[in-house]
Parts: sequence; C-alpha cells; structure tokens
Amino acid sequence: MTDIVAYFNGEWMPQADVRIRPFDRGFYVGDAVFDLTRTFDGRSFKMAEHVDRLYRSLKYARIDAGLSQQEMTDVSEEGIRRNEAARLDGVGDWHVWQAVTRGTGVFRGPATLATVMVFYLPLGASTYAPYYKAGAHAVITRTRSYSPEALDPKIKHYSRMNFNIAEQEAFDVDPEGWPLLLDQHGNLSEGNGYNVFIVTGGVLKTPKDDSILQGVSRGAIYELAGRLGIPVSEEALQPYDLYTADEVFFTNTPSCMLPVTRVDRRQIGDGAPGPITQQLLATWSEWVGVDIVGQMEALNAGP
Amino acid sequence: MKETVAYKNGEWMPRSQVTIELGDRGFYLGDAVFDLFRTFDGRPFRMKDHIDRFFRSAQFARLDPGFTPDELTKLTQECVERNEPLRSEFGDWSVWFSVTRGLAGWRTLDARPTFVMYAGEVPFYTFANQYAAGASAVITRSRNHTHQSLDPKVKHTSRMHLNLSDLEARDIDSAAWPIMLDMEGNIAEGSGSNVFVVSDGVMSTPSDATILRGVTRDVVFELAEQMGIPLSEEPIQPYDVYTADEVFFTSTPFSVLPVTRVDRRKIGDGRPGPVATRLLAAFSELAGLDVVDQALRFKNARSDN
Repeated sequence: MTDIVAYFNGEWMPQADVRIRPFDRGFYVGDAVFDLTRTFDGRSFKMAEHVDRLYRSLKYARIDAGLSQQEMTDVSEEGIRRNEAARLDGVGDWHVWQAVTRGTGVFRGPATLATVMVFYLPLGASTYAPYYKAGAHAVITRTRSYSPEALDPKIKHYSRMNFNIAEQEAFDVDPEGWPLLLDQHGNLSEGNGYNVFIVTGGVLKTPKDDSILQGVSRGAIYELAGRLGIPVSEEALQPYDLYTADEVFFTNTPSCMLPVTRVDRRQIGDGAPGPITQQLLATWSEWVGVDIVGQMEALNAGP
Repeated sequence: MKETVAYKNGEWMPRSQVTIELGDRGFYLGDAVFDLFRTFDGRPFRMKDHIDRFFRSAQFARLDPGFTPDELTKLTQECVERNEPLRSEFGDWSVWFSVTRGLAGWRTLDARPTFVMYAGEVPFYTFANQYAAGASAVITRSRNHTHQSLDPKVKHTSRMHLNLSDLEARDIDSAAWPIMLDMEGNIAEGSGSNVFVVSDGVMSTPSDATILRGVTRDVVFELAEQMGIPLSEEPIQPYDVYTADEVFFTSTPFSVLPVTRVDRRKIGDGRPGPVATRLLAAFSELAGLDVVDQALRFKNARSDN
C-alpha cells in the first residue's frame, strides 16, 4: 500500500515513523486534546466545525498549538492532498486526526512547546459495517460520564479512562456491546465517542449538551431533521426513554449514524433499524454524494 | 549527564530510545495505569507498597502488566541498580512505570500491553525552598472525579482534570499547588498529593472514598501513631483548612510539605508548624537521610552551575 504521511511538529513524515516520547505530557498525564474529521470521496466534511471545536478544546485546556485555526485547517487539507494516492489505493476515505499535547515537560516544571500532529487513518469499516443493517447493541454501563465540575465532557481530550472502563463493562454484558454512559444524575449522556438519539412518536430526542461532547454529526442530524421536517428536542432522557423508544441510533464522525436495536440485551422497537433512522441515513448519503452504508460495507468486504 | 537506562517491553535501552506509537491506547485514550516510587540516597523506599498499588490499579482497569509482583520488584530494583552510576550528587530517582492497553484500535481490547519504566531525577527544584518558607495552595474550581465516573483510587494517566486544576491554582497564586474538592464540596486531594490539616494537636485527612491512597499518607499514619499524635479520617471542608493551625501535603517526591497559604489566606501563623516539622524529622530518620537538607543541597548545587 502507498505510504501515508503525517504532519508532526511542523514536518511531513511517513506516518509509520511518528513516535511520541514517554515524557510527553500527552502520554503520561493525558494532557492532550484532539479532534477528527472524515472525508467523503476525499473531500473533508465539516472541517470548519471540527477545527472550531478543537480550538475550543485547546482554549479551555490552555494549550497553545502554535498554529492559527486557518493554519491547522490548511495543514489538515494539505495532508488529504498528499495522501490522495493512498486513499485511492484501497483506503476509501479518511479519518483526519488532529491532536495537540502540552509537550514534553516535568510535573510543575517550565512550560514547553506543544506537540502538534495531524494523521490520517482509515474509517475502521469493520467496526461499523456490520451494524447498519443488523443494528448495534448498547449497554448502559455502571461507569458514568465525568461531571462538568470535574472535567467538562465538551472538551475532546485524551484522558478517557472512564470510557475505556465503560467499554469493558459493555463487553461484559453483551459481547457486541457499545457503552452508553449516564451522567451524575442518572440521565443519559453519551457513548465513548458518539452521541445518542431516540425516536419516540415521530420526535427525535437527544440529551442536552450539559454532560456530553457536542458532536458535529449530532449537529448534522439537526440539519437533516430540519430539512425532512422531523421535530428534534434536546431534553433530559432516562433509561426508561431508551427502553421504550421506537428507534435508537448513535452518531459519530466515521459512521455518521449507526442504528441501535438492543439496549441492555432488550429489544428496541421491532428489533430492526427504524424508518426515521433509515430516512436520515439515506438523506445524509445524498447530501455528501457517497452511499455511506454501501461504502462502509464495500470497505469491510475488502478488494 | 550521561543518559539513563530505561525499559520497554522486555528490553533495556537508553532513555531517548523509548518511544510510544500514535496508535497506543495509552496515548490516544489515556488507557494506562502507572505508579512511581523514589529512592533515598539510591535506596528504594516503600517499593512494595507502590508495586502493590500498581497491581490494584491494573486489576481495576483490567490491564495485564505481564509480570508477577515479584518479577516487577526485581525489574524495578534492576532499574535502580543500572542507573546508580549516573545518580548525581545529592540526587535521587523517581522510578516511573506504566502499563498501557497497547497498540490497538477503538473497541479492541486484546492487544499486547505496552510496559515502560524509567528513572527520572526527583525534581527537588520544584519544592526545595518550600520546606522552610511553606508552600502555597489554592482550592480549585475543577473537582475530583467521583468514584462513579473514575475511582480516584486508581492511579491512571487520564489526568486532564488534575492538569487543569494545576493551571487554575497558579492563576490565583503563581506558585500554588492545587487542592481539589469532591462533588460534595469536601476536600479531596492535591494533584499527586494528599492533604492533612492539624487543629488543636489533632491531624485529620479525608477518608479514602474520594482520593488516591498515598503511600506517603500511610507512612504519615504510621509516624503519627509512633509519635502519639491523634489522627482522624473525616470529611474536611474549606472552613477546616482556613481555620487550621497547620496544613501539609504528602507525596512521594517531597514526603511532607508544609502549606502556609491557601487561597492567598495565611494558615496559622504563616510559618511551617511544629507537627509538620516533627513529621519531616521522623520521616528523615525512616528514610535514612535528611529530606529537607538533601533537597536544598541538590537545588543549590544546580543553581551554582
């Protein structure tokens, strides 16, 4: 396969050669923020929203990337161009991953230059492809989201141990389980890298953004729902609402959206991806000019 | 200084050659636990307690260090021995070791873990002057995670809330160390340290429901008992801190550090108190060297350069 190049501290290099020092705060104290954008047929999708969110994360965490937002966007787009041959060589589309750490430095030592990287990963088709038609299984985990008073979930950071533990708890309950976390009040918050929506009586509902990451794909669903005339409500949702919903789906950047047909091993609706979920997916595919499900299935099937 | 020797996945190598891949879950997901102990004049201190805690952290996070505790003990001893010729005058090591879930994708948990160990110099310059002058602390807006989100007993690398808390403390007072509250508004812990207050001759410290159980905290419990100082584990509010006769931190690098300012308010008479001073002396006896004197000598030797 054609070599993929990545941007690392001002230089382009083979991605396989990028290495992090163990003394980088991004590694030893989870002191990093990141974001990721996907491409559709090689064109970035909502890059501006992702870069905006990255710069909000940087601002909150007070890490200086040393690049303006425009420069970060330009670098990210440049990498898409540089890696176009690799994309056409079986990758399909990219996950463009931007990460900035506070740099190498000792605890309470002098400030150091940030470590800045943009790298290019495949979409991870095997993670998503099987679930567009069969539906994914969710598990509400014992481990909860961070409280905004401890670490606001709006920041996209590398200190994700609660998600890692939730991931294992989900697998304990259902070998195909995708974790869903509650907030400190017992309301639904989010998964480990995806937002959750339910459909009840023709209305799309999703948690407010007080205990979640404000997903760009979640925003895209608002746009699509607006076009299709489907009402959307942001509200506090309990496990009850999930169990009794007609439809449930996740949204995230690589998959766009993923139908959920089981929660805590209970069947949701009639156990198949629902009509509103399907309608949204079809409209999204039209919007970006790529058959989202077909592409993911083709990538998963391999050449 | 010549380069120290570090360890990664079965091999010893110069420290600069130890690297982590982008796709290591320890990096991109904070999916790692660690521990560290220090040496006193080159001798490991309470290594067993640190190794035991490391294995509890790994057990909770379901990470496999790939060693038995005995094997890890031998390895940490080897790390100290290999680096002994490089230990600087007055210097000592912080030996840091970590296991990550390895090079694996999202929703993939069955990778080969990454294990890293290295020895770094105890950063005496970050606290040497504060034994005599007293450290400054600030109760930060960022709070500790609840055990329902991520139990603070686990020593993990997902420390963004501690990093932010550290910045917030310095916003208020430029050299301050952070103190975090739990969700109920009680004092929890510092960023890598435990908090004690002394009032009317009684020491109190938060119970271990909302903190990392510090090895040095346990040592102070032992010393307090030997010295006949009453000690209680109980919920502590900012009120108790502001009105205390003494406040101090405990932590592996500095052992016991008197705190004389909290939120820019003077604690007690504004000087390190007698209990903290006695504890430091007793700790020094246990460690086999004068911890305050060492920190100052190290710092002064460096600033002469």
